[in-house]
Amino acid sequence: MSDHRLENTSALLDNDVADAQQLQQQLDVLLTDPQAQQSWQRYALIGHIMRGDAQSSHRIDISLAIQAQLANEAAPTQSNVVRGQFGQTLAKASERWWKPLGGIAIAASVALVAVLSVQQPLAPDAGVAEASSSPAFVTNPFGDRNPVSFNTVVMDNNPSEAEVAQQRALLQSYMLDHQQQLQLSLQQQQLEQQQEPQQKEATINPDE
Amino acid sequence: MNNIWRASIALLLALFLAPQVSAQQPSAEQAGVLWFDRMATALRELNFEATLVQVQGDRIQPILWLHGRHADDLEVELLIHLNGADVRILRLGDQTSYYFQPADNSYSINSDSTYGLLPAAFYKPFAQLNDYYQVIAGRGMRVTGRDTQYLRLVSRDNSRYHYSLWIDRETGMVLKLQMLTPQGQVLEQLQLTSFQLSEELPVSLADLQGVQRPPRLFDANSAVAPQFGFAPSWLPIGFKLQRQTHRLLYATQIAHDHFLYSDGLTEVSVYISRKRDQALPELAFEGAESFYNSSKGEFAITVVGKLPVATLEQIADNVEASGNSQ
Repeated sequence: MSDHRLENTSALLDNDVADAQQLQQQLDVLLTDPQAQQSWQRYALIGHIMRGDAQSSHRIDISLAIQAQLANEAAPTQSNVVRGQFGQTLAKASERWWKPLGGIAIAASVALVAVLSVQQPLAPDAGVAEASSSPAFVTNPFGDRNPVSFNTVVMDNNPSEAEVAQQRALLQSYMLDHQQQLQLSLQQQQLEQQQEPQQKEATINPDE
Repeated sequence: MNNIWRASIALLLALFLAPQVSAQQPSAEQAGVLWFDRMATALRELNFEATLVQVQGDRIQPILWLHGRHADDLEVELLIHLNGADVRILRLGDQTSYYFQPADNSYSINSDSTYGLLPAAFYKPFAQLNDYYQVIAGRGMRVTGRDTQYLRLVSRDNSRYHYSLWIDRETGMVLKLQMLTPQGQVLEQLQLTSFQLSEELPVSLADLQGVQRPPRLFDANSAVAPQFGFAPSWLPIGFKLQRQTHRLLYATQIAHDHFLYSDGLTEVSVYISRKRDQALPELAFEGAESFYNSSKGEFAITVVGKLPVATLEQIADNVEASGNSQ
């Protein structure tokens, strides 16, 4: 900006323009020229500060700079927008999560089904088994190999692994079924709730 | 004369003021009900993003919990399990969907409370539980960095699990929960680790309306009545029959009579099957979900529910011939 125009702005601010026509002209310039407006703002601020009546709320106007910067920048694309953490989780999720689901699913349950260890209760004949197997250990005082002996009685109180697995599956099936029935029961209650108002309406309407 | 006037005025004043004084200081139980209802409202109305941990025994599950309301009043709730299998629960109004990855067995149900984190009863006013439970307000403490009101939810006959709740004084949000045996052993805990309240619906919930919903869960076999001629003859007071069916359990294909009871907060299932089909030994297991298995004649009686094992045992022992066997 030329010194001349700065001078004009300054004169305008100080109400120092004698000629009415010149005043009009300079005002027009001021209203159309953004640079002149900036000068006006700065001069006015300087004046205020010098007179000591500047308010602390006066701030340097950076809006234009930001506007210009934004205009220069490429429009944001999906990839370079920084999202909050929650949004990010979902964005990732939408890629693999919300996909169509095949086939009618059999409900597993949301409820946490703890992996249960089946505890075999002591069989009532446990004592007998122990008694009858103890001679076997007596005949084999050293080493841990099982003696091959006619009185070796292997009373297996513990179920085999396959049995345990089967029992565990059974237990889980009860837990899952219970959860599923709960949900179906919730659904049933909901449907009944929704039907009730409709029935009421249905009974009210004929009266009208 | 003057004295009589003074006395009568004092009496009148006392009469007028007495109810106000008692209203200002409600009993611990009245306060409990007020706070419980505040929680129920908060769970429906607040816009929040929270993270929490759910602890059951030695299992810990961190969960992301988002909730909000659209401008048109549609309620949105989203729960995401952060450990292990990718489990998500999404509820829009009265449609709840359960998504499981990688096992692709997702489904939807028609329900306006999100089952899987809190009991469904926590979304409703306390009045419906009042006959069998009481809720008592106590001194709160600092939870998740906020001031809380402590509530103790106990069954009136002491045969059910208890709940301890810590409710945010400012918003009514539940910040911590414990489920305990009547003896005070903690079985399950929820603890919020972060809680961010907002004026508006959380951004991540805004565009979930168009999301693909998995198929609805229907119960097709509900028409078949129980067939083994046994039925529970005793349950703790307040338990009402919700469903009774005869069907095959999906996972094992074993035929069962099934009875489901609820007291509004707690549910219990009673299963009856032929002993030769079901090879479980007599066993009892107490936990967040207790389990009891016993037998009666040629039938196995199995009871499952969020109840102390002693209560399950009593239910199982009181399963009796109902006289309509086929």
